Amino acid sequence: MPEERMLSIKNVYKHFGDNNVLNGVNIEVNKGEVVVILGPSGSGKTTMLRCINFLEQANEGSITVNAYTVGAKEKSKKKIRNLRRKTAMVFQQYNLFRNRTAVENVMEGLVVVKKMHKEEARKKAEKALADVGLLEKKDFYPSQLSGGQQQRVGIARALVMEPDLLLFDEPTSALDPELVGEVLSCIRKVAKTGITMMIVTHEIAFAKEAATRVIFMEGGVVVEDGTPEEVIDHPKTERTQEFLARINA
Amino acid sequence: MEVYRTCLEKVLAGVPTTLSLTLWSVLLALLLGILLSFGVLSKWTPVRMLFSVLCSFLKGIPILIFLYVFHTAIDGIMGGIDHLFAFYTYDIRKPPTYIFAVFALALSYAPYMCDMITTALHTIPKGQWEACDAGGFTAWQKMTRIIIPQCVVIAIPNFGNHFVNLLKASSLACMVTIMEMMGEARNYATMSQRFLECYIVCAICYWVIFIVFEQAFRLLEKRAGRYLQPGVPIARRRRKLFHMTNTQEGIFEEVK
Repeated sequence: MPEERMLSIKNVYKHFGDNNVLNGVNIEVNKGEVVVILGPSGSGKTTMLRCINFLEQANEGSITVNAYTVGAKEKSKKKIRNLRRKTAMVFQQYNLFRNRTAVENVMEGLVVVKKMHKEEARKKAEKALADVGLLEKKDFYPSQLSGGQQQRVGIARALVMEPDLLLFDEPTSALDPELVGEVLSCIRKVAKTGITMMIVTHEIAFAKEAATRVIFMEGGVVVEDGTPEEVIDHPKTERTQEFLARINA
Repeated sequence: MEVYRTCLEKVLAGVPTTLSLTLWSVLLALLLGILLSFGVLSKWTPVRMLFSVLCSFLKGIPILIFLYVFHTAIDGIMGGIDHLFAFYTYDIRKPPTYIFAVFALALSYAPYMCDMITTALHTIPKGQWEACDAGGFTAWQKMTRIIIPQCVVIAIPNFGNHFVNLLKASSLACMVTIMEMMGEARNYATMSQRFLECYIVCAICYWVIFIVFEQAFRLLEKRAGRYLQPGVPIARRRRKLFHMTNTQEGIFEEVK
Protein backbone atom coordinates (compact mmCIF):
# COMPACT_ATOMS: atom_id res chain seq x y z
CA MET A 1 0.00 0.00 0.00
CA PRO A 2 1.51 3.35 -0.96
CA GLU A 3 2.00 5.57 2.03
CA GLU A 4 -0.05 8.74 2.02
CA ARG A 5 1.73 11.84 3.22
CA MET A 6 -0.39 13.70 5.77
CA LEU A 7 2.00 16.36 7.01
CA SER A 8 5.28 17.79 5.92
CA ILE A 9 7.11 20.45 7.83
CA LYS A 10 9.81 21.85 5.60
CA ASN A 11 12.73 23.81 6.91
CA VAL A 12 10.77 25.76 9.52
CA TYR A 13 12.54 28.54 11.37
CA LYS A 14 11.01 30.57 14.18
CA HIS A 15 12.49 33.19 16.42
CA PHE A 16 11.00 35.41 19.09
CA GLY A 17 13.18 38.49 18.94
CA ASP A 18 16.74 37.31 19.41
CA ASN A 19 15.65 33.95 20.72
CA ASN A 20 15.90 31.32 17.98
CA VAL A 21 13.37 28.67 18.92
CA LEU A 22 13.18 26.58 15.76
CA ASN A 23 16.30 26.19 13.65
CA GLY A 24 15.20 24.37 10.53
CA VAL A 25 12.74 21.65 11.48
CA ASN A 26 11.93 18.99 8.87
CA ILE A 27 9.33 16.36 9.65
CA GLU A 28 7.27 14.13 7.38
CA VAL A 29 4.29 12.25 8.75
CA ASN A 30 2.32 9.60 6.92
CA LYS A 31 -1.34 8.85 7.29
CA GLY A 32 -2.26 6.92 10.42
CA GLU A 33 0.99 7.56 12.25
CA VAL A 34 0.89 8.46 15.94
CA VAL A 35 3.90 10.68 16.47
CA VAL A 36 5.01 11.57 19.98
CA ILE A 37 7.40 14.47 20.33
CA LEU A 38 9.73 14.44 23.30
CA GLY A 39 12.33 16.88 24.42
CA PRO A 40 13.48 19.03 27.31
CA SER A 41 11.60 22.23 28.02
CA GLY A 42 12.67 25.04 25.75
CA SER A 43 13.48 22.63 22.94
CA GLY A 44 10.78 24.17 20.77
CA LYS A 45 8.42 21.21 20.58
CA THR A 46 5.29 23.15 21.54
CA THR A 47 6.28 26.00 19.24
CA MET A 48 6.77 23.53 16.43
CA LEU A 49 3.31 22.09 17.03
CA ARG A 50 1.77 25.56 17.11
CA CYS A 51 3.53 26.44 13.88
CA ILE A 52 1.69 23.61 12.13
CA ASN A 53 -1.67 25.36 12.51
CA PHE A 54 -0.14 28.83 12.46
CA LEU A 55 -0.99 29.75 16.05
CA GLU A 56 2.64 30.74 15.87
CA GLN A 57 3.67 32.02 12.50
CA ALA A 58 6.94 30.55 11.32
CA ASN A 59 9.49 33.01 9.97
CA GLU A 60 10.66 30.65 7.26
CA GLY A 61 9.66 27.33 5.77
CA SER A 62 6.38 25.78 4.80
CA ILE A 63 3.71 23.50 6.20
CA THR A 64 1.77 20.99 4.13
CA VAL A 65 -1.25 19.21 5.54
CA ASN A 66 -2.89 16.65 3.28
CA ALA A 67 -1.49 18.23 0.12
CA TYR A 68 -2.43 21.77 1.12
CA THR A 69 0.66 23.93 1.50
CA VAL A 70 1.04 27.26 3.23
CA GLY A 71 4.46 28.86 3.24
CA ALA A 72 5.74 31.32 5.80
CA LYS A 73 6.30 33.83 3.02
CA GLU A 74 3.11 33.33 1.01
CA LYS A 75 0.39 33.14 3.60
CA SER A 76 -2.98 34.83 3.79
CA LYS A 77 -5.74 34.74 6.38
CA LYS A 78 -7.82 32.59 4.09
CA LYS A 79 -5.03 30.09 3.36
CA ILE A 80 -4.23 29.80 7.04
CA ARG A 81 -7.89 29.22 7.81
CA ASN A 82 -8.13 26.50 5.19
CA LEU A 83 -5.08 24.80 6.63
CA ARG A 84 -6.45 25.07 10.15
CA ARG A 85 -9.68 23.43 9.05
CA LYS A 86 -7.70 20.33 8.12
CA THR A 87 -6.32 20.09 11.63
CA ALA A 88 -7.69 20.14 15.15
CA MET A 89 -5.90 20.89 18.36
CA VAL A 90 -6.18 19.76 21.95
CA PHE A 91 -4.68 22.34 24.29
CA GLN A 92 -2.72 22.09 27.48
CA GLN A 93 -5.19 24.38 29.24
CA TYR A 94 -8.20 22.70 27.52
CA ASN A 95 -9.46 26.09 26.25
CA LEU A 96 -13.08 25.01 26.13
CA PHE A 97 -15.46 27.83 25.23
CA ARG A 98 -16.52 29.03 28.67
CA ASN A 99 -19.91 30.26 27.52
CA ARG A 100 -20.87 26.92 26.01
CA THR A 101 -21.92 23.67 27.67
CA ALA A 102 -19.97 20.49 26.97
CA VAL A 103 -22.20 19.45 24.09
CA GLU A 104 -22.31 22.97 22.68
CA ASN A 105 -18.51 23.07 22.77
CA VAL A 106 -18.38 19.96 20.63
CA MET A 107 -21.13 21.25 18.31
CA GLU A 108 -19.63 24.67 17.81
CA GLY A 109 -17.16 23.79 15.08
CA LEU A 110 -19.68 21.66 13.22
CA VAL A 111 -22.24 24.45 13.18
CA VAL A 112 -19.86 27.35 12.59
CA VAL A 113 -17.18 25.92 10.35
CA LYS A 114 -18.91 22.96 8.69
CA LYS A 115 -22.28 24.76 8.49
CA MET A 116 -24.03 21.65 9.74
CA HIS A 117 -27.66 21.79 10.80
CA LYS A 118 -27.99 22.27 14.56
CA GLU A 119 -29.95 19.11 15.31
CA GLU A 120 -27.64 16.97 13.23
CA ALA A 121 -24.62 18.56 14.90
CA ARG A 122 -26.07 17.95 18.34
CA LYS A 123 -26.57 14.26 17.56
CA LYS A 124 -23.03 13.96 16.30
CA ALA A 125 -21.68 15.86 19.29
CA GLU A 126 -23.55 13.64 21.72
CA LYS A 127 -22.09 10.60 20.03
CA ALA A 128 -18.61 12.08 20.32
CA LEU A 129 -19.18 12.84 24.01
CA ALA A 130 -20.37 9.27 24.53
CA ASP A 131 -17.12 8.09 22.92
CA VAL A 132 -15.10 9.90 25.57
CA GLY A 133 -17.52 8.70 28.26
CA LEU A 134 -19.05 12.05 29.15
CA LEU A 135 -22.56 11.90 27.74
CA GLU A 136 -24.14 12.43 31.17
CA LYS A 137 -22.17 15.68 31.54
CA LYS A 138 -23.32 17.18 28.26
CA ASP A 139 -25.24 20.07 29.80
CA PHE A 140 -22.46 21.07 32.18
CA TYR A 141 -20.42 24.19 31.62
CA PRO A 142 -16.62 23.82 31.57
CA SER A 143 -16.39 25.50 35.00
CA GLN A 144 -18.51 22.67 36.39
CA LEU A 145 -16.23 19.92 35.12
CA SER A 146 -12.96 18.54 36.46
CA GLY A 147 -9.76 19.11 34.51
CA GLY A 148 -9.76 15.57 33.18
CA GLN A 149 -13.36 15.86 32.07
CA GLN A 150 -12.67 19.20 30.40
CA GLN A 151 -9.77 17.71 28.51
CA ARG A 152 -11.90 14.79 27.35
CA VAL A 153 -14.48 17.26 26.08
CA GLY A 154 -11.59 19.02 24.34
CA ILE A 155 -10.65 15.74 22.67
CA ALA A 156 -14.26 15.15 21.62
CA ARG A 157 -14.38 18.68 20.22
CA ALA A 158 -11.29 18.01 18.13
CA LEU A 159 -12.36 14.55 17.01
CA VAL A 160 -15.84 15.51 15.91
CA MET A 161 -14.38 17.73 13.19
CA GLU A 162 -12.83 14.63 11.59
CA PRO A 163 -9.51 16.38 11.00
CA ASP A 164 -6.76 15.03 8.78
CA LEU A 165 -4.33 15.73 11.55
CA LEU A 166 -4.92 15.88 15.28
CA LEU A 167 -2.51 17.93 17.38
CA PHE A 168 -2.07 17.46 21.13
CA ASP A 169 -0.18 20.17 22.98
CA GLU A 170 0.86 18.65 26.31
CA PRO A 171 -2.66 17.37 26.95
CA THR A 172 -1.93 16.11 30.47
CA SER A 173 0.54 18.69 31.78
CA ALA A 174 -2.07 20.86 33.50
CA LEU A 175 -3.87 17.96 35.12
CA ASP A 176 -3.78 16.65 38.66
CA PRO A 177 -1.82 13.38 38.71
CA GLU A 178 -4.88 11.27 39.46
CA LEU A 179 -6.69 12.65 36.42
CA VAL A 180 -3.91 11.96 33.91
CA GLY A 181 -4.93 8.32 33.49
CA GLU A 182 -8.43 8.98 32.19
CA VAL A 183 -7.17 11.41 29.58
CA LEU A 184 -4.33 9.16 28.44
CA SER A 185 -6.63 6.18 28.06
CA CYS A 186 -8.93 8.41 26.06
CA ILE A 187 -6.08 9.41 23.74
CA ARG A 188 -5.01 5.78 23.49
CA LYS A 189 -8.49 4.90 22.27
CA VAL A 190 -8.37 7.67 19.70
CA ALA A 191 -4.96 6.49 18.51
CA LYS A 192 -6.41 3.09 17.69
CA THR A 193 -8.91 4.62 15.23
CA GLY A 194 -6.15 5.22 12.70
CA ILE A 195 -6.29 9.00 12.75
CA THR A 196 -2.98 10.79 12.22
CA MET A 197 -1.84 12.36 15.48
CA MET A 198 0.99 14.42 16.78
CA ILE A 199 1.43 14.55 20.54
CA VAL A 200 3.76 16.72 22.55
CA THR A 201 4.06 15.14 25.98
CA HIS A 202 6.30 14.28 28.90
CA GLU A 203 4.67 10.90 29.47
CA ILE A 204 7.43 8.55 28.35
CA ALA A 205 5.55 5.39 29.29
CA PHE A 206 2.59 6.53 27.26
CA ALA A 207 4.82 7.36 24.31
CA LYS A 208 6.32 3.90 24.41
CA GLU A 209 3.05 2.03 24.14
CA ALA A 210 0.78 4.35 22.13
CA ALA A 211 3.15 5.91 19.61
CA THR A 212 4.14 4.42 16.31
CA ARG A 213 6.97 6.89 16.06
CA VAL A 214 8.89 9.07 18.47
CA ILE A 215 10.70 12.29 17.65
CA PHE A 216 13.22 13.78 20.02
CA MET A 217 13.83 17.51 19.74
CA GLU A 218 16.42 19.73 21.28
CA GLY A 219 17.64 23.23 20.56
CA GLY A 220 15.02 23.76 17.90
CA VAL A 221 15.99 20.81 15.71
CA VAL A 222 15.00 17.17 15.39
CA VAL A 223 17.74 15.15 17.07
CA GLU A 224 16.35 11.67 16.78
CA ASP A 225 13.46 10.13 14.91
CA GLY A 226 12.32 6.52 14.89
CA THR A 227 10.12 3.86 16.44
CA PRO A 228 9.56 4.04 20.22
CA GLU A 229 11.98 1.13 20.70
CA GLU A 230 14.70 2.86 18.75
CA VAL A 231 14.40 6.25 20.37
CA ILE A 232 13.37 5.43 23.92
CA ASP A 233 15.01 2.06 24.52
CA HIS A 234 18.08 2.38 22.33
CA PRO A 235 18.79 6.07 21.80
CA LYS A 236 21.66 6.71 19.45
CA THR A 237 22.61 10.25 20.33
CA GLU A 238 24.12 11.35 23.56
CA ARG A 239 21.60 14.12 24.13
CA THR A 240 18.65 11.75 23.94
CA GLN A 241 20.38 9.37 26.33
CA GLU A 242 21.00 12.19 28.78
CA PHE A 243 17.41 13.39 28.61
CA LEU A 244 15.97 9.92 29.15
CA ALA A 245 18.37 9.22 31.98
CA ARG A 246 17.33 12.41 33.70
CA ILE A 247 13.64 11.59 33.32
CA ASN A 248 13.98 7.99 34.49
CA ALA A 249 16.12 8.93 37.45
CA MET B 1 -47.34 67.88 54.07
CA GLU B 2 -49.03 69.58 51.20
CA VAL B 3 -45.69 70.82 49.89
CA TYR B 4 -44.21 67.33 49.91
CA ARG B 5 -47.18 65.87 48.06
CA THR B 6 -47.28 68.50 45.36
CA CYS B 7 -43.54 68.33 44.99
CA LEU B 8 -43.68 64.54 44.71
CA GLU B 9 -46.27 64.87 41.97
CA LYS B 10 -44.09 67.31 40.12
CA VAL B 11 -40.99 65.18 40.46
CA LEU B 12 -42.83 62.05 39.36
CA ALA B 13 -43.97 63.93 36.29
CA GLY B 14 -40.29 64.34 35.44
CA VAL B 15 -39.46 60.65 35.83
CA PRO B 16 -40.23 59.65 32.21
CA THR B 17 -37.94 62.40 30.93
CA THR B 18 -35.14 61.36 33.27
CA LEU B 19 -35.49 57.73 32.25
CA SER B 20 -35.65 58.39 28.54
CA LEU B 21 -32.77 60.84 28.76
CA THR B 22 -30.70 58.26 30.61
CA LEU B 23 -31.63 55.43 28.29
CA TRP B 24 -30.90 57.29 25.07
CA SER B 25 -27.63 58.68 26.41
CA VAL B 26 -26.51 55.27 27.59
CA LEU B 27 -27.29 53.72 24.22
CA LEU B 28 -25.56 56.50 22.34
CA ALA B 29 -22.60 56.42 24.73
CA LEU B 30 -22.31 52.68 24.20
CA LEU B 31 -22.38 53.13 20.44
CA LEU B 32 -19.75 55.86 20.58
CA GLY B 33 -17.76 53.77 23.05
CA ILE B 34 -17.73 50.87 20.58
CA LEU B 35 -16.48 53.20 17.84
CA LEU B 36 -13.83 54.62 20.17
CA SER B 37 -12.71 51.14 21.18
CA PHE B 38 -12.08 50.28 17.53
CA GLY B 39 -9.78 53.28 17.38
CA VAL B 40 -8.09 52.59 20.70
CA LEU B 41 -7.43 48.95 19.75
CA SER B 42 -6.31 49.78 16.23
CA LYS B 43 -3.21 48.18 14.75
CA TRP B 44 -1.91 51.55 13.55
CA THR B 45 -0.10 53.51 16.20
CA PRO B 46 -1.13 57.01 14.97
CA VAL B 47 -4.81 56.03 15.03
CA ARG B 48 -4.39 54.49 18.43
CA MET B 49 -2.70 57.61 19.77
CA LEU B 50 -5.31 59.89 18.27
CA PHE B 51 -8.15 57.99 19.86
CA SER B 52 -6.41 57.74 23.22
CA VAL B 53 -6.01 61.50 23.24
CA LEU B 54 -9.64 61.91 22.21
CA CYS B 55 -10.76 59.62 25.04
CA SER B 56 -8.69 61.49 27.56
CA PHE B 57 -10.05 64.79 26.28
CA LEU B 58 -13.68 63.68 26.57
CA LYS B 59 -13.02 62.22 30.02
CA GLY B 60 -11.34 65.35 31.31
CA ILE B 61 -14.18 67.75 30.69
CA PRO B 62 -17.05 68.27 33.15
CA ILE B 63 -20.43 67.20 31.86
CA LEU B 64 -21.89 70.60 32.63
CA ILE B 65 -19.51 72.25 30.16
CA PHE B 66 -20.56 69.79 27.47
CA LEU B 67 -24.18 70.68 28.18
CA TYR B 68 -23.54 74.43 28.08
CA VAL B 69 -21.40 74.27 24.96
CA PHE B 70 -23.92 72.19 23.09
CA HIS B 71 -26.72 74.36 24.34
CA THR B 72 -24.99 77.47 23.13
CA ALA B 73 -24.14 75.91 19.81
CA ILE B 74 -27.62 74.59 19.06
CA ASP B 75 -28.75 77.47 16.92
CA GLY B 76 -25.47 77.60 15.07
CA ILE B 77 -25.39 73.89 14.34
CA MET B 78 -29.06 73.50 13.50
CA GLY B 79 -29.04 76.62 11.37
CA GLY B 80 -25.98 75.34 9.55
CA ILE B 81 -27.56 71.97 8.85
CA ASP B 82 -30.71 73.72 7.76
CA HIS B 83 -28.77 75.80 5.27
CA LEU B 84 -26.53 73.05 4.08
CA PHE B 85 -29.34 70.73 3.09
CA ALA B 86 -31.71 73.56 2.23
CA PHE B 87 -34.47 72.32 4.54
CA TYR B 88 -35.42 75.76 5.79
CA THR B 89 -37.59 74.18 8.45
CA TYR B 90 -35.64 74.97 11.61
CA ASP B 91 -37.72 76.95 14.04
CA ILE B 92 -35.45 78.97 16.29
CA ARG B 93 -38.13 79.11 18.97
CA LYS B 94 -38.15 75.29 19.27
CA PRO B 95 -34.54 74.19 19.60
CA PRO B 96 -34.04 70.40 19.96
CA THR B 97 -32.49 70.84 23.40
CA TYR B 98 -33.30 67.30 24.43
CA ILE B 99 -31.32 65.73 21.58
CA PHE B 100 -28.33 67.93 22.28
CA ALA B 101 -28.46 67.05 25.96
CA VAL B 102 -28.44 63.38 25.00
CA PHE B 103 -25.36 64.01 22.86
CA ALA B 104 -23.63 65.92 25.63
CA LEU B 105 -24.23 63.18 28.19
CA ALA B 106 -23.31 60.46 25.71
CA LEU B 107 -20.07 62.15 24.71
CA SER B 108 -18.90 62.49 28.27
CA TYR B 109 -19.68 58.85 29.01
CA ALA B 110 -18.42 57.37 25.72
CA PRO B 111 -14.78 57.08 26.88
CA TYR B 112 -15.91 55.17 29.97
CA MET B 113 -17.86 52.81 27.78
CA CYS B 114 -14.76 52.45 25.62
CA ASP B 115 -12.68 51.58 28.69
CA MET B 116 -15.31 49.10 29.76
CA ILE B 117 -15.16 47.35 26.38
CA THR B 118 -11.38 47.22 26.13
CA THR B 119 -11.05 45.97 29.72
CA ALA B 120 -13.59 43.25 29.07
CA LEU B 121 -11.78 42.21 25.89
CA HIS B 122 -8.49 41.99 27.72
CA THR B 123 -9.91 39.75 30.43
CA ILE B 124 -10.90 37.06 27.92
CA PRO B 125 -8.15 34.42 28.26
CA LYS B 126 -5.85 34.01 25.28
CA GLY B 127 -6.88 30.38 25.06
CA GLN B 128 -10.40 31.33 24.05
CA TRP B 129 -9.09 33.19 21.02
CA GLU B 130 -6.67 30.42 20.17
CA ALA B 131 -9.33 27.73 20.39
CA CYS B 132 -11.37 29.66 17.83
CA ASP B 133 -8.36 30.20 15.59
CA ALA B 134 -7.28 26.58 15.76
CA GLY B 135 -10.83 25.55 14.87
CA GLY B 136 -10.69 27.60 11.68
CA PHE B 137 -13.25 30.24 12.69
CA THR B 138 -13.33 33.49 10.76
CA ALA B 139 -12.66 36.64 12.76
CA TRP B 140 -16.37 37.49 12.63
CA GLN B 141 -17.44 34.05 13.87
CA LYS B 142 -14.87 34.21 16.63
CA MET B 143 -16.05 37.60 17.86
CA THR B 144 -19.80 37.09 17.58
CA ARG B 145 -20.04 33.56 18.91
CA ILE B 146 -17.35 33.33 21.57
CA ILE B 147 -15.58 36.55 22.47
CA ILE B 148 -18.35 39.16 22.53
CA PRO B 149 -20.83 37.00 24.46
CA GLN B 150 -18.18 36.51 27.13
CA CYS B 151 -17.29 40.20 27.07
CA VAL B 152 -20.90 41.20 27.63
CA VAL B 153 -21.08 39.09 30.76
CA ILE B 154 -17.83 40.51 32.10
CA ALA B 155 -18.93 44.08 31.33
CA ILE B 156 -22.34 43.93 33.01
CA PRO B 157 -21.27 45.10 36.51
CA ASN B 158 -19.27 47.95 34.99
CA PHE B 159 -22.08 48.85 32.67
CA GLY B 160 -24.50 48.92 35.58
CA ASN B 161 -22.24 51.38 37.38
CA HIS B 162 -22.03 53.66 34.38
CA PHE B 163 -25.76 53.42 33.90
CA VAL B 164 -26.65 54.59 37.39
CA ASN B 165 -23.95 57.24 37.26
CA LEU B 166 -25.44 58.56 34.08
CA LEU B 167 -28.88 58.42 35.64
CA LYS B 168 -27.65 60.78 38.33
CA ALA B 169 -25.67 62.90 35.90
CA SER B 170 -28.79 63.42 33.82
CA SER B 171 -29.99 65.75 36.59
CA LEU B 172 -27.48 68.27 35.21
CA ALA B 173 -29.67 68.57 32.13
CA CYS B 174 -31.99 70.79 34.12
CA MET B 175 -29.36 73.49 33.64
CA VAL B 176 -30.21 73.61 29.96
CA THR B 177 -33.97 73.89 30.52
CA ILE B 178 -34.84 70.21 30.32
CA MET B 179 -37.65 69.43 32.70
CA GLU B 180 -36.60 66.10 34.08
CA MET B 181 -36.91 65.21 37.78
CA MET B 182 -34.38 67.74 38.99
CA GLY B 183 -35.76 70.41 36.67
CA GLU B 184 -39.25 69.91 37.98
CA ALA B 185 -38.07 69.96 41.59
CA ARG B 186 -36.08 73.13 41.04
CA ASN B 187 -38.95 74.78 39.28
CA TYR B 188 -41.41 74.00 42.04
CA ALA B 189 -38.90 74.95 44.71
CA THR B 190 -38.52 78.40 43.21
CA MET B 191 -42.25 78.77 42.91
CA SER B 192 -43.09 77.63 46.45
CA GLN B 193 -39.88 78.95 48.03
CA ARG B 194 -39.59 75.60 49.86
CA PHE B 195 -36.16 74.57 48.58
CA LEU B 196 -35.10 72.04 51.19
CA GLU B 197 -38.32 70.03 51.05
CA CYS B 198 -38.30 69.88 47.28
CA TYR B 199 -34.70 68.73 47.04
CA ILE B 200 -35.25 66.09 49.71
CA VAL B 201 -38.22 64.68 47.82
CA CYS B 202 -36.22 64.71 44.62
CA ALA B 203 -33.28 62.98 46.29
CA ILE B 204 -35.47 60.21 47.63
CA CYS B 205 -37.00 59.69 44.21
CA TYR B 206 -33.54 59.34 42.67
CA TRP B 207 -32.58 56.91 45.37
CA VAL B 208 -35.62 54.69 44.71
CA ILE B 209 -34.93 54.61 41.00
CA PHE B 210 -31.28 53.89 41.73
CA ILE B 211 -32.21 50.90 43.89
CA VAL B 212 -34.45 49.49 41.18
CA PHE B 213 -31.72 49.64 38.56
CA GLU B 214 -29.00 48.46 40.90
CA GLN B 215 -31.00 45.37 41.79
CA ALA B 216 -31.92 44.78 38.17
CA PHE B 217 -28.27 44.83 37.14
CA ARG B 218 -27.31 42.59 40.04
CA LEU B 219 -29.90 40.07 38.91
CA LEU B 220 -28.75 40.32 35.32
CA GLU B 221 -25.15 39.85 36.39
CA LYS B 222 -26.00 36.72 38.33
CA ARG B 223 -28.04 35.23 35.56
CA ALA B 224 -25.71 36.05 32.70
CA GLY B 225 -22.62 34.87 34.55
CA ARG B 226 -24.09 31.57 35.66
CA TYR B 227 -21.73 29.57 33.45
CA LEU B 228 -18.77 30.81 35.44
CA GLN B 229 -20.15 29.40 38.67
CA PRO B 230 -19.71 25.78 39.60
CA GLY B 231 -22.87 23.91 40.49
CA VAL B 232 -25.81 22.13 38.95
CA PRO B 233 -26.17 22.91 35.25
CA ILE B 234 -28.91 25.38 34.48
CA ALA B 235 -30.26 23.59 31.44
CA ARG B 236 -30.96 20.54 33.50
CA ARG B 237 -32.54 22.42 36.37
CA ARG B 238 -34.91 24.17 34.03
CA ARG B 239 -35.99 20.93 32.44
CA LYS B 240 -36.71 19.43 35.83
CA LEU B 241 -38.94 22.34 36.78
CA PHE B 242 -40.76 21.97 33.50
CA HIS B 243 -41.18 18.29 34.13
CA MET B 244 -42.64 18.81 37.60
CA THR B 245 -45.28 21.30 36.62
CA ASN B 246 -46.33 19.51 33.48
CA THR B 247 -46.75 15.85 34.28
CA GLN B 248 -48.90 14.06 36.80
CA GLU B 249 -45.93 12.10 37.97
CA GLY B 250 -43.94 15.23 38.67
CA ILE B 251 -46.65 16.86 40.74
CA PHE B 252 -47.17 13.65 42.64
CA GLU B 253 -43.52 13.51 43.53
CA GLU B 254 -43.61 17.08 44.67
CA VAL B 255 -46.57 16.38 47.01
CA LYS B 256 -44.96 13.29 48.45
